[in-house]
Amino acid sequence: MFQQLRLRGKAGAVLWGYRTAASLGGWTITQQQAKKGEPKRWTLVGTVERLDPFQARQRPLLFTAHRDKGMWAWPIVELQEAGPIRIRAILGAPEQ
Amino acid sequence: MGSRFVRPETVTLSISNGDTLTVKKRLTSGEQRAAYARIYVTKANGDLGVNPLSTGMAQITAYLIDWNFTDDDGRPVPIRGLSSDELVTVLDNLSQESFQEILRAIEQHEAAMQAERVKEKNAQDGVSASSTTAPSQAA
Repeated sequence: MFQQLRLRGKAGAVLWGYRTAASLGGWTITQQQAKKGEPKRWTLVGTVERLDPFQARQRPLLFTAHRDKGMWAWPIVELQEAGPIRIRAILGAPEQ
Repeated sequence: MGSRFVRPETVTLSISNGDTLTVKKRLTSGEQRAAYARIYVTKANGDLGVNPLSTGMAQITAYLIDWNFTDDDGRPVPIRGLSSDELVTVLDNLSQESFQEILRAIEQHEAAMQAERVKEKNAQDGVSASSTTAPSQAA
């Protein structure tokens, strides 16, 4: 059984509705093994290419990234850091 | 008075053949400005002029987010997330009738939203006007 799952991509976006709150270059999502009875915890860290500070403060936000057949989409539960260089967020369970 | 910012809300418009368009409910000032920018061209003398061939396309690309259109093989033709330039290349492949139908649907939607905002503004003005009027003292 794995203790940690890591996904990587070269492009992604944080969306507020249909608008792009942040465009990301490289990103990594890490899923830590949760304690028994606790929900899985996904952490996103990405490089910011363009950030709209107003939209990044709005809710709900969604992290999306292309994959082979469709899109990844994770709801952002908590945006811990949204600076000009780096973004860091806690994600909910992937939606699709 | 509500927020002056435009939330990214969408509206689904039904057109012929059971097809649907997902459009922005309302444009932000930036989206409206970008649409204007796609309409205007700089003339040889440096003045700005309107390119009439671009007006409909600019309005569609400003509003259109997604649709349920399929190609001849029944495969979806996704447009969500495309840039304006990419969307233009997809729209250029539509039949003239389909393009005009989309444009009409978006024009009607825009007119309906403007009418709704005028109605809301009038209602707000009525409320604020009465609330700023001091109650008369009983004699």
